Amino acid sequence: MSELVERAQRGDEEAFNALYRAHVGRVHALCLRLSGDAHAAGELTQDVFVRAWEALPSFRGESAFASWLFRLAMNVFLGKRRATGRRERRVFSTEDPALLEQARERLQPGVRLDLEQAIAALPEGARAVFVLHDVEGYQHGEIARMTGIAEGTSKAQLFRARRLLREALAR
Amino acid sequence: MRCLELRALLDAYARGSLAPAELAAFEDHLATCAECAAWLDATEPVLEGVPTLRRSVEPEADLWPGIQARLAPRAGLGLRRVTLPGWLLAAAALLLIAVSSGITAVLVRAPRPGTASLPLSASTLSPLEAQYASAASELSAELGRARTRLAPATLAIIERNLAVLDSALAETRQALANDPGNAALERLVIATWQQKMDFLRRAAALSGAG
Amino acid sequence: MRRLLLLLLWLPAASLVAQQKLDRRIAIASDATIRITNLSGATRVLGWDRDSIAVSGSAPLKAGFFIGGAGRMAKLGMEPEEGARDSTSGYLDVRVPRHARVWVRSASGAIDVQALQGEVDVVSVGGSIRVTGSMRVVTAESIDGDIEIIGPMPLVRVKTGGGRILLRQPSGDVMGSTVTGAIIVTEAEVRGARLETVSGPVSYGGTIDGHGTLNIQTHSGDVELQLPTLLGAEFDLESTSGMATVALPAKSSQPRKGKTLFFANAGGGAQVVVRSFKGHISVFGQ
Repeated sequence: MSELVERAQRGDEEAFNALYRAHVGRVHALCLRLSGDAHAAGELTQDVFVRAWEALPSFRGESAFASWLFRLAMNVFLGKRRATGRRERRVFSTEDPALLEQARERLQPGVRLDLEQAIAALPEGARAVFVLHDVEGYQHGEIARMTGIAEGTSKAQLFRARRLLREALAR
Repeated sequence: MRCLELRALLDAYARGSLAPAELAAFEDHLATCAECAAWLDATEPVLEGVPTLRRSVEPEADLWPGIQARLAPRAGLGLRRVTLPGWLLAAAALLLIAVSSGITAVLVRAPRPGTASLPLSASTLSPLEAQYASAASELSAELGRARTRLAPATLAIIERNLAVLDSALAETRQALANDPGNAALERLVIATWQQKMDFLRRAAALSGAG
Repeated sequence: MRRLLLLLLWLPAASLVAQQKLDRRIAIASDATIRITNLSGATRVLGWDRDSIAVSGSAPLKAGFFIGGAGRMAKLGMEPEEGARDSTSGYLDVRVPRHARVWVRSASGAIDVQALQGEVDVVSVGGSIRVTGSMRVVTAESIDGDIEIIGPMPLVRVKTGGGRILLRQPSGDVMGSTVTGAIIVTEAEVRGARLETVSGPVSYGGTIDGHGTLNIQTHSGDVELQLPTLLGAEFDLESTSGMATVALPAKSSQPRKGKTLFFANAGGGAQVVVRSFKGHISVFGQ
């Protein structure tokens, strides 16, 4: 385990600051793509690091710190999603025609979008699966387990994401 | 749903116009049919631009001040030393040994080589857990003092129940350590702490009242 | 030889003399608080319509039997003398006014309470507990004993460790907790129920009030729910390492399966929340 991580575990804030600087870009990129919103991503990134500080004692160096932090970021995002939707405990409703419609409106023909903008405009469920699978490289089984959706749903959502993105970009 | 049906419904699925029952059947079929999954993948393969997406995006504003303001002092510093009565320590030690070998069977992920169970020491506790652990050790001490008032059979039963509680606690803590920040696991850890506290409280009260 | 004969004659006589028959009675208010202690013997408490307490039973001589009180407070019971090694324990049969508040304590004796309508608070560290009737409030605790509560009672709080809990016809609010013992609830019609265990299996059969809640927490215990097919309820089921399966025949008629299941049945209304670390969760319609 790195010296920095050990010192941070013992309460050294400066060491934790160094870890923050080293990893914030990666964490923030994930938060940005998952939430599709810069403001939410900033808040989420802060939550991730605060939670990492609290959970650090249980990090045993069995994985790389970056992977551990990444995993925690995923969980904080998912936890927040569940918390904000008290009745909507399901992290991503697999099917909400209204959301899908809103997404299609954002992806209007005639508006030039770059890939990032197009990803941000995807409906939530499809976006999350797309980011986790195509951008971050998780397998469907893992995605299913992390997000609480079925594996078949994950595959279907990925298909939908790729198709919507292609349609948005092919203009 | 059969493969041909699924392929016919692709466009409708992408548009979001499948009826709930059809949607469920669509997704269920995909879960188990490797061919259809591969076919979907081929129909809409990975987008070209994806590998060029930036993996790291610095936030525009510096987030550190906001983070620093929310960092609680590390629980390990200044946590009072936890002393447990001898018989509890022995039981706990046995437990950890027994539990660590069973732990890997419980983990959802593949066990990592050299995984040892997460000991219940001050350095591995989150701030909230530290409070529970501190209260638990106080109650355990109380129980230890009262043990002369309890019949050996009752004592054995209490120890047996505590062993089950500690084993459950160890499992959930280890699972959380492997899946940090998992809200469901955090809730389970806290719930198990509360169950342990409740049992200790009752046992201590009953040993006094007896 | 003579000494041997004397010895033989003495033994049975000794055991006869060692027990005393109990038959005591005192007058008491109909809503009195009555504390009963019987550390190692069995205790039975029955409600009746008289403003008095009647105790019958038998007690070992070495047990100090006591009874006292008047008006709205009474105490009675048996406490073996310090250091008494007598292994025979007595039993108490106590009649109390139906609306009395009854408090019973035992270390290893079984406790059986019937036909009361007030508050009942029962603790037996190792003995079993049984409460039957329509008490207003029941609190029952044990470390290892089984606990059975039968009948419609507005408020029931039950805790044991290794023993099991059986609740039949619970209505109103229920809280049940075990460490390893099973929790079995049948003919239920609760307004709110919270059941928790570490490794015991949990089984719930019956229904839930319109906007009631059923909350179940286990570590490794499996959970089985048998609910009316058309129960309007929101289900929130989660097992980290186990599996949840729901077979509430609906239009899709496919059992739902997953680690996390969240859905509404028949328009929602009640709330069913089940959390487990590695137990399996099954929901059946009836």
